Amino acid sequence: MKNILVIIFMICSSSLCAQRYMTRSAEVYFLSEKEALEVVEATNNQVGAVIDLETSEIAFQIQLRAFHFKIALMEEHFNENYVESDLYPTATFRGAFLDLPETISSEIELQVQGEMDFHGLKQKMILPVKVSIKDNILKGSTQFSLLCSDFGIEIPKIVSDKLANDIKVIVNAELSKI
Amino acid sequence: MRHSFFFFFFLFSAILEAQDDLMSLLGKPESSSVQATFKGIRVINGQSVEVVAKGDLLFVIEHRFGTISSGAYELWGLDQASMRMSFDYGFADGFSISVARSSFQKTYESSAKMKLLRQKVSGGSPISLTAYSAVFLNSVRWIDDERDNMFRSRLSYAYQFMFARKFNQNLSLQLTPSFVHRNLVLTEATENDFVALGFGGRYKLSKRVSLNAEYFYQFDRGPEDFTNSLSVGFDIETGGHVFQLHLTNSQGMFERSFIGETIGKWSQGDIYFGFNISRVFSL
Repeated sequence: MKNILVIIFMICSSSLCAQRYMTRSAEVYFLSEKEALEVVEATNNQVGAVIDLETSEIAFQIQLRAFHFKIALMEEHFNENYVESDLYPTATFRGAFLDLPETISSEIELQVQGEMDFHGLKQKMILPVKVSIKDNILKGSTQFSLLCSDFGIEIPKIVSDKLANDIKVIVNAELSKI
Repeated sequence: MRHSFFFFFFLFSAILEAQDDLMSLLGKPESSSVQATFKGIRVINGQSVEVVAKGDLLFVIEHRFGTISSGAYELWGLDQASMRMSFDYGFADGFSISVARSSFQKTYESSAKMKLLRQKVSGGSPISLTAYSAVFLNSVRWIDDERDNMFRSRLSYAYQFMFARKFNQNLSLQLTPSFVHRNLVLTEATENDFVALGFGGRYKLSKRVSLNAEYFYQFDRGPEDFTNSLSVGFDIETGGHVFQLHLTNSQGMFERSFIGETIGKWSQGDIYFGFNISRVFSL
């Protein structure tokens, strides 16, 4: 009997101390900020994300093929000519919160330092993140820009009036406790 | 003693758990379908496995000029041109319907195309398979009005299966078993049906340019004497347009004609320069 209690206690405590939150349906939206006739924007809402509050670690996994555009041909060109998703099917971000408080409830602004691995190149980044936790749901969001040229994505001259080098990215995620 | 054993066991397992990579919790992403096996819905003359996307309207204008061997007087064939234009609309994901008109025999055309299998990036189907069915209407005025001319005599049909595999980012190959039926043929000895096997492929030279080639081998044609169609060309892609420039021994631009009625011979310089220009509209 005592043994069973010990086991139950240990299982409970180990799952309690692992402050992990996860989702497979985070949303990443990006926009090429150019005043053009056809706006280049896409949304991916099958992004995987894990956050471990104990170690302050954070990981995102983005399948590039799951970015959907309004125009099918844009989506094909995005995959074929720009991000080359046959060669580099996923983009990842691994990082850690810089100043994680003991407890989080209402929304606070934090910073995440990490490394983006995208199109075969790695770049260190610091991202401003808004986080809140309620009922075992961790909500997080961020907005940042990235440069295509930082990740070896060339924009040919012929489309430079339609495509910006500067890409605006918005991430929204709701992670549940695991 | 026992308790401390359990205690260490759990402590240890908890430490192990914390050490594994967060990324591995997310697992491997799902395998998606291979995209852009070919740039266009046609390899050159023949259909490719690609189908116009849902809600897109694709407008294609094609020209085949006269033979290059016709010399300077005909400006190497540019003075004569045969043309075709077509509209393809994607009614559903992987299903399109097309209407077209060729100047050759004033032919109206209607066809349907459907994706049956999609090649997966990993696991799943190793190939893509698309089915194609077309009906052609020859609208040239009857030569002999005295004869009993029936409407059905104007019709011919083509059915194809396109099996294709994108081997890597650059290389895609396709096999195209084809069946053609003609309601009316020239002589009684001529078979109404014939069968052919198409071979097609593309190799990307750069992100926006690919080299394409295509050959249709005809099985036993009986008394009819036609050449097998052989074409080579380039696909050049610029945004919403795809330009296809090619050299071919077929002047016809629909299946019955280029698979089964090619008369040009490469060896004798019967080479036609041609182009397809396509523009996609998102409706």
